[in-house]
Amino acid sequence: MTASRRVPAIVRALTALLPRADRELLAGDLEDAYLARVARGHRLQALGLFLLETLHAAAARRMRGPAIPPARRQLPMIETLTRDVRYGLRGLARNPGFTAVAMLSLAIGIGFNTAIFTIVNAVLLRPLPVSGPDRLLTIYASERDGYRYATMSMPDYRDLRDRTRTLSGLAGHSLMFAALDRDGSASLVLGELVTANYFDVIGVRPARGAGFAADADLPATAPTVVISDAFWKREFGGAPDVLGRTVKIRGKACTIVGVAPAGFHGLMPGMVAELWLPAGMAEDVEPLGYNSTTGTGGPTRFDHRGRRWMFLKGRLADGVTLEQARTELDSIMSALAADYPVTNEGVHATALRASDVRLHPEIDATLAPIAALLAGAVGLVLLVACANIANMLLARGASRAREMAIRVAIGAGRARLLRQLMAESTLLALAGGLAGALAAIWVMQMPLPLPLPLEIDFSIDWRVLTFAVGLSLVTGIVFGLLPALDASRPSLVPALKGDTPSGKHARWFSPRSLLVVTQVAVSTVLVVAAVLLARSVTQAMRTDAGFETDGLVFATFAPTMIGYGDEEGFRFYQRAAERLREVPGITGVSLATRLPFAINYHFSEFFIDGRPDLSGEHGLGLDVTQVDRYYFDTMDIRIVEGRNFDERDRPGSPRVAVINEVMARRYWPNESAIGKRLRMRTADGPIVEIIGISAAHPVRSVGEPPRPFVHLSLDQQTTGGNSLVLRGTLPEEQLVAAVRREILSLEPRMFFFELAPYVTQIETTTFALRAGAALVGTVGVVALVLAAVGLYGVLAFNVSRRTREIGIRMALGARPEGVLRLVLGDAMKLVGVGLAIGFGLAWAASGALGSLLVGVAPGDPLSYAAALIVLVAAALAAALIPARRASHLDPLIALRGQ
Amino acid sequence: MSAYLGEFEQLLLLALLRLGPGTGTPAIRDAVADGSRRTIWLGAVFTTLERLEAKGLVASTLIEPDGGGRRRRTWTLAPAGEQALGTAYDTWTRMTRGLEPRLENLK
Repeated sequence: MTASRRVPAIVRALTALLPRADRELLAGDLEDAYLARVARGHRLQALGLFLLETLHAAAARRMRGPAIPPARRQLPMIETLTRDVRYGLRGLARNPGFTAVAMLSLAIGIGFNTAIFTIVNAVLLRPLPVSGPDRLLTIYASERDGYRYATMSMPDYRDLRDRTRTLSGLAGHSLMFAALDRDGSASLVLGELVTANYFDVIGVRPARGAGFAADADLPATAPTVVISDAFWKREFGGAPDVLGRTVKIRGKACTIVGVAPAGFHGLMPGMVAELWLPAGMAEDVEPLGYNSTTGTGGPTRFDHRGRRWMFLKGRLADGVTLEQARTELDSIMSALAADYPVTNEGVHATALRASDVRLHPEIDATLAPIAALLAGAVGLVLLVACANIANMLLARGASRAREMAIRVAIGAGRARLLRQLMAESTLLALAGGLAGALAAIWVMQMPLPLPLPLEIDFSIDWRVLTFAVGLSLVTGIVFGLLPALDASRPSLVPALKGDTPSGKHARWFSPRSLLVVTQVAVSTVLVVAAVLLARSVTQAMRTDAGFETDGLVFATFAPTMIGYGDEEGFRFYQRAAERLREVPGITGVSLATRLPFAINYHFSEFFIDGRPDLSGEHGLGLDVTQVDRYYFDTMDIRIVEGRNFDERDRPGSPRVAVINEVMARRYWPNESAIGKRLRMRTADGPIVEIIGISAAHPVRSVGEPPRPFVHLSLDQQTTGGNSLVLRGTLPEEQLVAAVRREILSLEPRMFFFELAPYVTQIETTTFALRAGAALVGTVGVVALVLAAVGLYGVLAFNVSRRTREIGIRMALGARPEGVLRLVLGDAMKLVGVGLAIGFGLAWAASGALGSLLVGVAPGDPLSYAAALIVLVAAALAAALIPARRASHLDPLIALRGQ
Repeated sequence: MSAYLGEFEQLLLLALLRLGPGTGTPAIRDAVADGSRRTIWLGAVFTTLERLEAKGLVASTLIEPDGGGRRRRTWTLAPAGEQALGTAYDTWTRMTRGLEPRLENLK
């Protein structure tokens, strides 16, 4: 009697499940166990247990293999993670081409985003470098015309500071340029002009020195200065004995009384102030920003109540609310208005929490949408990059189906496969993100091409780093998840056999195709925007400035900042102009207070004499400049009626003006404006007679609506004139060199704010447009390239999947052109859908560009056509390579299989 | 220095020590199942015994049955296995010295 005879055949058949290698031995033991149970009389139980044990043994043998100790099957978390990371690194290293392309895509996407975030961070996010910003108030003067966020004057500041009980401290500050004397030559330094208590009120202690003395605000006090950490290190080599040494500003030796803490750059976000001068030096520097003057008063910024130039910061006293402070500030301002009606009538105070203001309430309001637009554009690039990588991972997942199937077969759980694939994509994202962030940081540290010596602080802090790392992680998860889900679910049997499931993936519309459609659509939006902006730029450049800009050069310099008085400075300008007129090749030289397209939107109130119906209660706010008698000839602006300024117009003679055609037609549509009279500032102010009408030209920027422009006579003034414009027959570079040479020979210490061909003046006004076009253009090209790569990848993948099918077609007589058409047709179906969606989106979104566009409608058909050509060309280029490969397949090789 | 033994390995070796050389797999399984009052799968016993054999703690012999039919595998405790068991017992006694009354109460 043998055991085998007593085991039912049906039960024995189950042992076939056991691995062949040790089936016999295992089966023997299993059968013995069965027989032992039967011997004990549990026949049914024995049969059931035999069944279960056989299945269990078969599973244990096949799935786990004998090598894995049961106790160690659950790896500890950390060990799993390290393994996943190591596995991921190996996977990436195995395919350096794939890794490089994916990393590059990501680096571009994340780099752009990091760069934009760096700007947003510097300007909008970084908190003010003060202690307790929520108890600090920013206080503005609100003016009688309703403008709420203007500057204050020094006398108003002093009264507020002395009368307030709700504020424990009140300080004033303004960005300024100071002329720094260094070995006989001057250079401009950005700093802040501040009241003596500035550092106390904002709660920043100088790292060295005591800071300003309490009487530093008084002009009579010996000049002192606090310097920045960077300035200290650069100019004094970080010398420990820097306190008590001097810095020469506008010829005055200022004693250094403090070094600001490292990283403190003043109160204007993004701007790097390098030194702080007390308000007593107000006349020695050039405050920047919003300066206004009303009424009359003392001659200086220091004692003229109507000369407003400083922003105020107040520290709330303990237990005082913002509302209480506002009420008190209002009552003080009302008292001042009663005492000084000429300068202060209708002037109130507006107090906001300093933490609620970034640059300035009005600028803040315009920055947010610009930031959103930028973020949107670069976000789209990242989206395209992600779609690309998701696509590549999907394709790679398909080619790794066999590997995955083997891993599943030897017992890997789906969760584990998912984790490993995700680890790989996250590693990829982090590496790409790191590369992109480093590139962005490097680019952002390069000096900006700004016309003024401004330094903008785009330093990297934890916010930027968190953003870059966070974005990389999210990106890794987002683009990794779908391919990982796809790849971790291989269909075991065909995958193991090495078959490629042609039915499922060869359809022309798959998840991969959807990604390509998305990419094409997004690229379309960006390319359309880029083309619209590019056309705007060319339109703006082509738009007639209204006068000939070739051979025209302008210069601004500031004699008052190197120690000249106002009149002395004006005489210097006149001397410079006289001298330049002698230079051969220069045909005209003129002085003006404001040139067309200069960022100097000076305007003044005018009343048309005897026409209160036109002037209104507050008069007409008109753009105004003062020009000498050479101006219209030099600029080549025609006098269309009346006369130009001439030697009759001198100080003391009746005031005269030349207005432009726009103004003449608007206010005197049916009669000549010549001989009509304007009154300046008030309805009974000084009379100005209109003696001439000049040809119209844009005043502030090209493409603007017609704008009235008043030219007053500079020859009737004894001060003013801070721009010089000249025309010559020499090349512009030689004209620029001549100006520099002649003026430095008159005054070697002189320095130039601006000295350039006139066309740069116009370029400055189109800076936002050109910067926008350059950015969107770059972004558009990058997105287009990424999308083309993505399209190429999908087509190449599809062709390799369909090799056998194409081989059969060719064996049956399909011609190469037919195959080419087949593959290209598939490509164009994807591209067509993407283009349709993209053009729809672009059409809907182009309105957002409206304010930036010059001379181009948001729906400009030519731009859309150009974009279409570019996109289709790129798509064809991407599709042609795989299509040609398919059409050149050798049917024999194709049919033999992979 | 003898091999570290997992609990299940100890149980298998103890069963083998008890049953003597040349014991078949099902008998070892039954002994462990009785002693530990757990359900023990044969598959797990095979796998673990094979691993112990790879470590040199047990040895197996193939037996040809007299009347034909399937071969059987029998197991014998190797000297290294005895030593490992001795070490494990030693560790156990040292770790439980003086704790016996409390361990009794924990049952």
